[in-house]
Amino acid sequence: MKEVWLVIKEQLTNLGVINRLAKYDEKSTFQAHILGNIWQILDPLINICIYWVVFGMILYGNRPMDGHPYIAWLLPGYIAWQFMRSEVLGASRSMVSRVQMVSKMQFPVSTIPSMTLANHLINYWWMLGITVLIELKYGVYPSASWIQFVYYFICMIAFLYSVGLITSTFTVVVRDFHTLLNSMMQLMFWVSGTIFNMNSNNVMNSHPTIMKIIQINPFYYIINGMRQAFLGTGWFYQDPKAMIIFWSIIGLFLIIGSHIHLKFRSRFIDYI
Amino acid sequence: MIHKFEKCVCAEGIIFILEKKLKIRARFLTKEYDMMKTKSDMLKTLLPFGNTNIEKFWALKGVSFDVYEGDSVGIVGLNGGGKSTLLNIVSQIIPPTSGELEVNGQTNIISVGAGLNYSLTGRENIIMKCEMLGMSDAEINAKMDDIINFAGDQVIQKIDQPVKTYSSGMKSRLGFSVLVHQDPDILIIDEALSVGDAPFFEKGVARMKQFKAEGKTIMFVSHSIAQVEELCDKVIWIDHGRVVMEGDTSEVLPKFDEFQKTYNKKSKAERNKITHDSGTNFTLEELREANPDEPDRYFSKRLYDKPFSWQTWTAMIFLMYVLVLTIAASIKNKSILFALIHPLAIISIRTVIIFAIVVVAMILAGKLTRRNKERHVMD
Repeated sequence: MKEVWLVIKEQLTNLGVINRLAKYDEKSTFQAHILGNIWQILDPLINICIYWVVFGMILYGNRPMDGHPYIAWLLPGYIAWQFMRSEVLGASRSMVSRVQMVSKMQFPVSTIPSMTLANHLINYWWMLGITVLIELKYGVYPSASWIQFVYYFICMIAFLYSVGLITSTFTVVVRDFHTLLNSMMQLMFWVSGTIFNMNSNNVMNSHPTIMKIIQINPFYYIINGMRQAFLGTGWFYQDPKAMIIFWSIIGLFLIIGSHIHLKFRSRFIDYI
Repeated sequence: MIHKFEKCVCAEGIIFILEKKLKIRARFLTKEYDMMKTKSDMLKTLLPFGNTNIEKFWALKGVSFDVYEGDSVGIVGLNGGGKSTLLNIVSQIIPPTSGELEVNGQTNIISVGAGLNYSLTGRENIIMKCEMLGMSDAEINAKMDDIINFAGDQVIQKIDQPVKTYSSGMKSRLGFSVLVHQDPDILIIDEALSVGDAPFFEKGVARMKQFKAEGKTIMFVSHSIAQVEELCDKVIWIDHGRVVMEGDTSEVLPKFDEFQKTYNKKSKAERNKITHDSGTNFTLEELREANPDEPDRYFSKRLYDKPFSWQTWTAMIFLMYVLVLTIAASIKNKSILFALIHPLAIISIRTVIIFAIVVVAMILAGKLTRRNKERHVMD
């Protein structure tokens, strides 16, 4: 347990540095692009348009989802997914690509996954702003339910950081892990209910056990929760089982992650 | 804090007692590295169970020394002797495997080329690096011009261009000038002056001497005996992870120089005698036995390599228990309370037994593979 506190303390004492370095990181990634940072928003927007046309219009035939138009239903979950996907993949490579840079200074290496997190978070805020505008256009107005966003946001950060600690360490030691993770995220995309509504699917409803197993998935918990928050279809405390499952998974990830991180951090240089 | 009292006799014959603060105190520092020969060895270090008999390499085998305020200490030794490892430990970049290190003050390691982002401009790199070293915005702005000027004319012309367009000498000039403009108590220099052309080298040495005049503590690694002689009062000679000799520059340097020059002529036994290398494998117990009067804490391994503590195990088992029960309750549509009271009604005994068998099998397999490996080594 000591390890977990040590790692969390390092994050809190270095919050300012994490934020500032994340900005430089973003600057250097798109330094050679003419449109620069706009790509970070343009890319997901193109994807959203594809899903809107293919799933919303062609597959679902403009049928409302949970009483809302498809695009209003899609966005809160999709931007959360987009953020989580890019963060999980970015964090897993973060240590490999940055340990050289910090190797000769006293820099707490455990903040490297958080730097990626802070970097991707900048885009997430932009996408969130766009989402709120579109929601307003499609008749979803701010309500008390939007407060839940804060809870699910905390869930998301806790989940991403604990996963980032594990995956970044693994990728340093076994480089293949990043490739494996990439394929796994493809699978996650389809089973986490990002683009189609599993609750209103006949096949799913006739097999409740499969649905229950899918709900264990932390991605599903967050994406579903974000939708709940924006569309006001439920409250987070209404499903205590899902909450307990989610947080015990986070707890396990955090303990294992900080343990292996501390076990290897002095040796990261040797593996690269 | 421990102080050292130094007698100083002045011209008039009056005796002053100078008080010197202890800056670095190292006791029996060791550093152990895993020697991973195959790819599966790398994987094995990740697993909490099973075979962990990976060959070890001790880069440092119990190094002790004291450095006082205002000292400039040179560290000499042949390649692979453990000099850089020692500096990295003293600057707290890597933790020691065992031993105790006390550092009073802020350390700053100067090693060129580290931490430059090639797609950012020189100016942005300066800001970024200063921020990573913990400087505030006001400090950075105040020092910006000094840093750029120190780096030289060639860098000034290109300061707003991406660093990838710089020549390698210019990159190292930029890195070096950022680092010498920090204001640390303890300066640690790892062969940083061996890059760059003659004018820049002179500039660097002048700056180091200025630091020395300001009373800063300096630790300096170099292969150039002339450089060490110019900058250092004290020298520590390290070989095979052990301190061979420690003392004033005039005392140690000639002996090291002689050793270096006659190295190739000496037989292995002769060399080992000088470097105190016993040739056999090193263990912490050995170090303990050689120093029976010292406290035990110097010879126990640090947290980082330890397995899960019992608190961690308890927390993990508790979380696992809660997780499994809640998942089972959720699938069977029972309430959590019901699951806690009748766990066996939720998870059948058969599942528990199967799970237990799998766990036992895994532990046994881990033990067996370890035994196999040991036998193999003995053959």
